[in-house]
Amino acid sequence: MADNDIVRLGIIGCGAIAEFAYLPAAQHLRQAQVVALADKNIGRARMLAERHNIGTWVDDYRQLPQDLDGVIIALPHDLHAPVATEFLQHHTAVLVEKPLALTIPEAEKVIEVARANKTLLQVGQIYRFCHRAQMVKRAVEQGWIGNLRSFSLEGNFADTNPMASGFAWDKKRSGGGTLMDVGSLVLDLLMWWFGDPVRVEYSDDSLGGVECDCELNLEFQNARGTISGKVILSRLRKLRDIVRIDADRLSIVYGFETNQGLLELIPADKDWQVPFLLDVRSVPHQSHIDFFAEQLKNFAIAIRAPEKSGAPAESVLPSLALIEQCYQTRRPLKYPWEVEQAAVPQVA
Amino acid sequence: MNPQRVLITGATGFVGCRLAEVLVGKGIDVTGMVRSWHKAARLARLPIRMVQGDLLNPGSVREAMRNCDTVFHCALDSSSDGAAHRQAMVEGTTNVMAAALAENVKKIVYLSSTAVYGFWPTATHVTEETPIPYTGSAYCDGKIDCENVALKYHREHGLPVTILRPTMVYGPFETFWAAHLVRCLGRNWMTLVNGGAGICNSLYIDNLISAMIRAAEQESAVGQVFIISDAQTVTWKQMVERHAEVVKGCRLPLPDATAEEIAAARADVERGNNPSSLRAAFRLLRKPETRSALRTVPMLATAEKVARSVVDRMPDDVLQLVKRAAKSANGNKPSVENGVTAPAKAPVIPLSDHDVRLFTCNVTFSIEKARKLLGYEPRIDFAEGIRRTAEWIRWMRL
Repeated sequence: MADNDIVRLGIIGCGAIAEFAYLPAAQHLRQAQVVALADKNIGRARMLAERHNIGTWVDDYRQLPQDLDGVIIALPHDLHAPVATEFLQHHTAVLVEKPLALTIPEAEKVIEVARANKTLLQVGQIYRFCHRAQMVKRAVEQGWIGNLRSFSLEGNFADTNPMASGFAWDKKRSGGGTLMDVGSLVLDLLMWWFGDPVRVEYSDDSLGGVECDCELNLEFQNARGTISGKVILSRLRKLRDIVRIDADRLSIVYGFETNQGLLELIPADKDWQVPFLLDVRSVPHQSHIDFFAEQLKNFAIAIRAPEKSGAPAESVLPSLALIEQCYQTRRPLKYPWEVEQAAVPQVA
Repeated sequence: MNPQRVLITGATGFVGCRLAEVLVGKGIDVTGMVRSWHKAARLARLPIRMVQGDLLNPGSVREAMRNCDTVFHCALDSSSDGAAHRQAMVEGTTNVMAAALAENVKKIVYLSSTAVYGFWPTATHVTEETPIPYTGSAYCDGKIDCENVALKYHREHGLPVTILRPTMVYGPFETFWAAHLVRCLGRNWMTLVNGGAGICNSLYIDNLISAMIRAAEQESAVGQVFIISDAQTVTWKQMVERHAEVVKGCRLPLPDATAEEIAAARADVERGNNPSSLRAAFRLLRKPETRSALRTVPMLATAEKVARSVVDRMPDDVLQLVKRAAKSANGNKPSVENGVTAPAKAPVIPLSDHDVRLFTCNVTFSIEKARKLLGYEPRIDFAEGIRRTAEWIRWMRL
């Protein structure tokens, strides 16, 4: 494929993420074009195809055109790794939605298939394509903001778009609730910035189903010092969608999801000159769709040059392992107004 | 009989979800009927079976009910309003009753409402014997129709139905009324009416749940209708002020106005005379810090210069007119008479007629029948119920 060829993509799974994120994001891309959709609900595939002028829609992903340069897998979590495996075996590059797989062994297996077939396997870690997140990474790595002290992150991830199916609420199919879903993004982001955590405490409000709210206390140690903080992820609460990082020289506060207008840089010493690369003017505003567009752009580039992938599959293994660890060591998150804890049978 | 396998319609709602939590805690096998998956996050915490269904689709109702011995019908169609809303309520309830008959369900508890007496009953003390007149409200009349459907299935087919008429249910995860109240309090857009002496007939969610479970268990409840409320008489002043205490930025004590003052303020708004927004904007602009902040915006600084230049060039009579308009917009600023400044009176908030009637309602509801036949006794009193609610509001960051 020549460098200036437009990458031809197919999307497998026409649920909310395809409808409200991938397809709108792909509309404005010069590097890639979605040319085919697959969904076992052919009515949905057809409806979205017609809406976005896509010529091919099928009810079985095995019927997708053979000449696709890559596929985006936006299926229920339990199908991510198996379907990715099929395409990788046919040397088709894969961008798989997070989480890569439900377990570490399953993730390692699909990564091995990608390696054996010398085919790109990238994971949908959209926060890595947020300019602000990239700014923080640079700032931490370069030491511009001094030694790290603390952080906090809280986000409301209530589902506002209609869901095409209820797989997310089925533990066997989703692998978990809020932590497995949006935690895959948030923990990956924190580990992308700070490395592997040295201390983890996790609690959630599952009563045998999938958690709605969860809280983590994390501590990281890296060349920039020890940084600890709290993460609150919720599908119920009206949290502020905000991340704050406090370092010796500077505090960085920025909003995400519903709060993307917020970006504050607070120097410890007001006379300190914020490095230009940390300046607000160097961080263009992005919408949620823009994250997906950046990701697709990167995927299109990485299909030609896999080393340029912004989220190669092996790089998300640590965050997946952390999620597994959280579930294994979970403590119940009791609501503050509850006075008695119902004895509830736990379902494996 | 004790329920073993239960279907809850409206399982993602405030009442349905809490009921599911309590039933699961009792080890009961629960199926939750869900119309919109994206609303099921809280319910999904529980180890229950969730089935997608629509009350207006008889097949999906029957499928959800299969193998269940007890049905709690809590769903309320909110996708429509007016006559369509009423029709959907009735059609949905008819489908539930028909499916229960076909599936040989042992007990059905239908969650009605004291709205069957109208939003503002004419009786001062309401019992189950108090007549339920149609009032023209789609919701109230729809609830009456639904009760009639359920009772008809009981009379004509022997379907073991019990109807509960809860009063105003409050508690954690009640997001409709609490969110509205908290929003109003946060904007200081709430007033007590006539001293807040009206009775709110509150019912803490867990008290309702205990009544629902009792209704499902008691054979003597079959074919009966019960009013369910808390035992204490709680005024609107108590209810609103306890909410206000946890709302950031809410000024206490709350203002108080008579129903007549509010009606006059509302009439002003309806005539388009109420300058409240304009007044607020003027007040904000009068603050030196606002003006200096605005001057830092280059275009606004220029605009201010232009405005000053326009004012300087205005003929005297036009200027007087503008000043009079601004003075009128300033509204209730302190008046100065004989050198003495009178205290400013807070503007009267033009609550809706519905709210005023609600806040001045003095009706009480009897729970004697529920006590006698169901053994119902509200275990959570107002102090504890509102404490939990306040904790939830803080946690929820409403």
